[in-house]
Amino acid sequence: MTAVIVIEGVVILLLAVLVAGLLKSHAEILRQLNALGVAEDGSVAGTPAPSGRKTTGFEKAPATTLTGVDTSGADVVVSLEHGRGNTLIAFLSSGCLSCETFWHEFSGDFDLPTPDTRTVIVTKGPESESPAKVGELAPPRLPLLMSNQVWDLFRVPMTPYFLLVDGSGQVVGEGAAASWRHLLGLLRQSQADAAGPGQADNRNRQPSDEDLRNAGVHPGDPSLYEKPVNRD
Amino acid sequence: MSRLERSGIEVEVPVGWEGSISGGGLELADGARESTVLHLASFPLPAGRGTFGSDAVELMNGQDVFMALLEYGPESADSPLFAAQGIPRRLQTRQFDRDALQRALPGQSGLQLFFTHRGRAFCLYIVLGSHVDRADILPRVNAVLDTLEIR
Repeated sequence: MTAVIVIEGVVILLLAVLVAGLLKSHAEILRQLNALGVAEDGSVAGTPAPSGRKTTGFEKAPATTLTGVDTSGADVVVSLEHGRGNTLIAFLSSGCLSCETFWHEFSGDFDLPTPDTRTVIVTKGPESESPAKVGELAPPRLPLLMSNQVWDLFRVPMTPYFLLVDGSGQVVGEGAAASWRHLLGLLRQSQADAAGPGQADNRNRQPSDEDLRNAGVHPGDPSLYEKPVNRD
Repeated sequence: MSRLERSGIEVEVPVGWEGSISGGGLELADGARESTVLHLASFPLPAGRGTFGSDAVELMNGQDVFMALLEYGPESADSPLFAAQGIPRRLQTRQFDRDALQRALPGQSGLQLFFTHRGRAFCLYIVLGSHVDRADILPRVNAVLDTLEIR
């Protein structure tokens, strides 16, 4: 009997140690994710989390003509004011683990949810990035610009980071994306935001305080306390 | 407005245009220098395009311009093909031809000129998006050529 109790005690102790270890491991994982800027719900810190909310504060791109070099050393000028559709600027790095997905996806046949969108990849300049290494990653069919100046001008907060600009240089949306799917969602949201509230389905939308004020209904108005008419 | 500058070649890039300039510095194994190639376009330029605009001219609309300036070796300077002296400026509509295209695309018009300037030999190749509208497009081409300097 004593032996059974001892064995049970040992088993319980071992289970307790196991649970403690698992909890510690989980806590460490959460700490590491937090350090990378990923919240528990999977959203990335600094990401508007497909709301299209701007994080650099730019209404218009700080530069609509981007100058730098390509991976072969050629001097390059890229325009954001070409007037024919949007430009998706993808700020990527050769050493960024999260950027690997985007280097890979941009090298294949990809479709973006925003129409007439041209993708331009921007990395830091040759002073900060290896042209050879970037060249190995560079999608063969996309324009790529290496420029510290552009990086600084756009106040790129992290990599990967994306900015969607229309043909006149206006910023339509921006944000970080942790995955290809996340980027597509960000673009869809930017497109929806740019389309404006008129495109949304307002049937079930509750009127905001501003809507009521605009309609001449102020706090204390009797209509706010009337029972709704049954229209059945 | 931006400028492209390399190997003594300078040009202003108009707002909304794109461009690139490469070569001119690298010495090749046979002692020759890598050719300088300048591209200018009034439309978004694709990566991986050919020296004379293949894979780019296909993207042009009727109002677009593509320009390529290619330097040849010093042995070509003042040779018969490159006998014309000085940078071509103030181009005329009659100089453009539907058949003067490296890649013949419907409606487009082209011009290819060879010249020597300050002992350097060049080919200037220009594609207009529309032969019919070349009179409307040409002023923008000439405005760019007015800013082209070769030292």
